[in-house]
Amino acid sequence: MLERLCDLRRAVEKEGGAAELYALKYEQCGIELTDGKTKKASRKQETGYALRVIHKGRVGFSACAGAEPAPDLVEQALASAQLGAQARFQFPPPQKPQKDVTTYDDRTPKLTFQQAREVGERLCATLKERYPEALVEAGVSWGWAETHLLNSSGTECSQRFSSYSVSAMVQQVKGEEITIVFCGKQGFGPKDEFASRVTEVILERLNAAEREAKITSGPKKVIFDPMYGVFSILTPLWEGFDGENVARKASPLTGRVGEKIFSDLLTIVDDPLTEGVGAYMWDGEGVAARRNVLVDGGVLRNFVFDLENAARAGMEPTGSARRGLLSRPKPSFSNFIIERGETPLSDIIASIDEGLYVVNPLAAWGANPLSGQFSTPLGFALKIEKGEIVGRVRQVSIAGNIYEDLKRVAAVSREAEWFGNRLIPHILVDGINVVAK
Amino acid sequence: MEKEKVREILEDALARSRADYTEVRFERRMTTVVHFRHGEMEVATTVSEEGGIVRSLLSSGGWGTATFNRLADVATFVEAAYECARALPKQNIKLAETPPVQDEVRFCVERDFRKIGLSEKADLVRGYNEAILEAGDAIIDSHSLYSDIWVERFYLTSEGTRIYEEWGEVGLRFSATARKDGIVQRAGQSFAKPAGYEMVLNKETLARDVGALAVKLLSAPPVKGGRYNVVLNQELASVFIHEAFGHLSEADHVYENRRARELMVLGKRFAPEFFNAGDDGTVEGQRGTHKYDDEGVPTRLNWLIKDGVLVGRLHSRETAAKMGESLSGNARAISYRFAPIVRMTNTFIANGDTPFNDLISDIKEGVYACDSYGGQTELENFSFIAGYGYMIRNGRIAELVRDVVVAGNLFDTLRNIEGLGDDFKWIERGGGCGKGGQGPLPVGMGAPHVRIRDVVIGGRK
Repeated sequence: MLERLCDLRRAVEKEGGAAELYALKYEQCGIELTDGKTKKASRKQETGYALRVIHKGRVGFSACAGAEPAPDLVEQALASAQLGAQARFQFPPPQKPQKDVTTYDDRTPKLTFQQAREVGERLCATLKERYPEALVEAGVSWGWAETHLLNSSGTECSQRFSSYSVSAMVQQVKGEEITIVFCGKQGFGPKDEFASRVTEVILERLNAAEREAKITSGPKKVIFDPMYGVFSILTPLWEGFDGENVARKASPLTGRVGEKIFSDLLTIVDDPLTEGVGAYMWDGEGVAARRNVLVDGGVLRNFVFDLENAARAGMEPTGSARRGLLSRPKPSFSNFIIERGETPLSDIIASIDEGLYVVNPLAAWGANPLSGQFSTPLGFALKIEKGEIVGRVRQVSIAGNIYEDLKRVAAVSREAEWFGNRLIPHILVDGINVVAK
Repeated sequence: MEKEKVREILEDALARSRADYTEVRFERRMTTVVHFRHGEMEVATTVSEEGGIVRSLLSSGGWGTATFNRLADVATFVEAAYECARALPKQNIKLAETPPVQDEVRFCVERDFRKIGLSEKADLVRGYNEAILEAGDAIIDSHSLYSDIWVERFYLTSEGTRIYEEWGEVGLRFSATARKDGIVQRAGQSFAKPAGYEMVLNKETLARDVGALAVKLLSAPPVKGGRYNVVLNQELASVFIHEAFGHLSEADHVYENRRARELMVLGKRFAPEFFNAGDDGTVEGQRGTHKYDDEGVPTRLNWLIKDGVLVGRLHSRETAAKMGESLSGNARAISYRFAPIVRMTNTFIANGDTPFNDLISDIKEGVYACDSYGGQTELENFSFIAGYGYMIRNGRIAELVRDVVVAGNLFDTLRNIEGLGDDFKWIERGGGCGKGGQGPLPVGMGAPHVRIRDVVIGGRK
């Protein structure tokens, strides 16, 4: 594979251009279960090649999915460069990694369908035993990948990744009322505690949902759950921290580094060098990975940048270029971490006289990414009354402005949990506007 | 590689399968994108893909699938799919019978976009980008995108089906962000159609309107949250029927779930008598139209709600057999990376007979909710973000309002439909539908104006 990449690099250099070659090869296996039975098994294999060129001061890009690079890959990339954006950066020379970080577990490629079935079937059986009437779906998937990046400045880096995930969903129908609860855990390799944690979270939620509760409209104390609650509600921030928006002054955070933007309880870090599923040693452009503090005690410190947007914004690249099989590198998050606080979750709940515990806001991505304004119905939320969770609320929405609301964070829990590439604690915000039917 | 050669390799591999049923789908795809961001070229690029999927079924096991890139190795993946199927417990999966077909479906257009150079496409988008920027300095960011895609698909089954299909689509996407005095507003529009290059020409008005709307929204007040009589425009009504009801009509959502089956029982009344809705994969020129679905089943018109009553749902061969209902031609996959699942094609609310002015004439204070940034549903709960809206006051369209979010319970909302406009149209917008990790799938949707009483409009109190 590397040889093919070197050939392509030479072909671009012969035309007087600089080249960046990226190759990805992955294999992914998975099973899907419905009501305790393993219904589907799949194996996926894919290879792809991407070529970015800087030719006559302009950037061009082309890519292909296929066992071999498309015969016209170089020609397409050079044609793209003829019309392309002005090059504001050069492909970087080799960079030493700051630190070794685990991205691969040898056991993952050796997993068998039989082993996955055992995990999935046991998980379903536990859920089904407690809720025999409900629909239970589950999935176990595992995969591994290798990436190769080389450029005309001498960078050549190869990395291996693996992943393993267990997830389950329970759907309960009572008359016209439907309750859906989901949980998934991911890592580099098989871990027994994934399935047990998924089971525990789902049972806990379903148990709490067995009772109904009512809440009145008005500003309330709201706890956001680490799995989806915090993540969904922070959606506008993804665009706010995105170096591409910052470089074009389209982020509301542009030019505000050093300013206090959130409560001092909030510290937000993007860290590819922490052991989590978003880890890597070099980013998608060969820049060495580094810990990047975005918000420190409520004060804005940085954004996520790739080479192009860092140059455009006059900032340092942060090693945050991510790429898929067929797309150009773009700045994104690696392991997105909100630093844990000091208060146990139980104390936070106990401190609330009337409030909500929000698990799953619907369509929170519809928030205005620039103003931070949101209005979102709650797919799954529990009422807290006199320091205790008392039951599920239905047909309730929350509305507000995330940039304003995060100034009023009243507590961050001592407990934090990984879901996907995010390590997030529970966050209590005082005065979220609740709209009830 | 020549078509005949590809077919030969696939035939040869299929013949070696040890499974009870095997299908192979192989695709070649070519995508071109030209993207301007705020007056500057972002990228103009062409990307190609080549790959396939083998799906096997064993009566002593289940569904096994294997996807691959290397055509020469397809036989290995026929075996891999068989091994996957064999790793599963016996589950009595039956496929509803469909007659094997041998067919070639050509994609014929006026101007073939593959023959138009990248620089001509770039000039077109540059012009549209300028049209957006005519709205003035308040526009702080904008995007103009052109895209086209060309797909060639080979589909072979062990039952004897042999389909060769060509498909293509052109599209445009415009968006603008405006800012003034700390207020930020967005507007967006898109267009997509399985058609030739001629269809993306002369769209300056669409681009200009996007810039103008973003600026106008700056001075529009946010809608006051509450319960209103609401009129949805055709685009938002289409999104509503697709998201909220269409997905619930997909048989894979209900066939394993006894309680959900009770909820979605055929013959049950869901809406007033004048309400009809369906899904039709045969509509000429729409994005969800194909002659066959991805299991080789001919597409057709499927009524979902007739005279307010649930009369049908959308099926794959497996769900149709399982539920003992007829095939509907709704098994679709977004690409060779996926096995087909039950999906919509072109979903619609049938035309009504009330002129728009009569639809709003007796609304004292209501909301006219227009267009959509998309929505999310969790079975009966839905939420849609409208692009913009107007207040209706004393039977007339009044001031423009922003931040209009329509949310509610599907069953209540359908029951509360009070009227349908006489102005049905198909919405030719871009993007697509997502489900089970497969998105965006090109789908069509259409509706007339729809009036609904007592709808929760989210916004600031």
